[in-house]
Amino acid sequence: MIRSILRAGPLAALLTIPLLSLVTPAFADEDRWLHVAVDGEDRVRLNLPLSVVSAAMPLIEAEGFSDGHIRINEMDMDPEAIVALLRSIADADDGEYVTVESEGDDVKISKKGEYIFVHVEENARYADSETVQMKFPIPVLTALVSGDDDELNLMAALDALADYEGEDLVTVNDDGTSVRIWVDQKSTQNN
Amino acid sequence: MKRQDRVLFGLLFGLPLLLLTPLALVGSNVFQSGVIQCQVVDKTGDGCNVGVVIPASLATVALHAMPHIEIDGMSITDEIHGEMGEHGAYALELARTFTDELQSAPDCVLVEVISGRDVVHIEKRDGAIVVNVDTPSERVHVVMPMHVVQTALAVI
Repeated sequence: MIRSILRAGPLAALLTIPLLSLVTPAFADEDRWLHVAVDGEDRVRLNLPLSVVSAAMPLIEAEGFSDGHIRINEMDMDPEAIVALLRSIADADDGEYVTVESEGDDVKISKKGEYIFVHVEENARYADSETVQMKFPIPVLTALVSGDDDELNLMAALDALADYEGEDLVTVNDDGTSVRIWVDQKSTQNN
Repeated sequence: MKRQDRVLFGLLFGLPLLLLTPLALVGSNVFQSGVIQCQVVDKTGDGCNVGVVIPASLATVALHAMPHIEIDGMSITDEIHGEMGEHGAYALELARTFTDELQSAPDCVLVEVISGRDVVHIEKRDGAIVVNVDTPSERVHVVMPMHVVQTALAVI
């Protein structure tokens, strides 16, 4: 009798194993994450897979923004001049290209190596100054201006952004509040 | 094996197996589908506390039945479409794309906001979206399996 039950064991196992089997969806290790960290009075942490942002972006419709493209001519600016300026900076040698000091507001745009640096400081001469620092990889900028002459191709820029990780791309410091945006392969923020 | 042993074997092993297999299948389905949890705890002591746990498989069946249920000659989904309007339909499409892409992502904290004594925490954990909201007056905990969200968005 016991031997019969033992013989039936594998049958029971065969019935049980499929019940316990779980299917784990695949997620490519090389997928990048977009991180936003805001510190100050409020603390905000945002972590999104770039693939999610890329998939959702073409669906976002807003004024001057559709299909992952920003239409500059809908923003009261000369679109061709802006795109031409960005293209020329992308092709230029290292150096400081724009320096504006006006009524306490400083703006500096420079290129060093693979990056464009934008430094904007409002009320630079006062204690309550607000600083915005942006660091654009050149391939991202090139991708950004890869569309028509009157638009910025945010989708292409996002794809190019996937190649950069770990470094702060945008930092903003304003009245005790700091904002950091960066891309890496981790799904969490370490701080 | 003697005939008597075969009968005994059938009674002791076969019958319970026949009875337990459907239960095991249902249990396995519920286990794999997960559960929808919604818990609201009032901290002031004046309000009421709510705790709801629904098997996700049951919710999925209910969601699939939704288009076939009619109220005043109009299906529930048609009524929802009418209420949502064009902007709602656009938001729905965005939500569908977002959840479809998020489905394959690993577990992660998506959003964390700490503002004063209010804390909002949204994460993807074990195939479900987990929302925790903690304020001085109440605590809310919601667990919604991703596949239920996808089904709901697909049905609507």
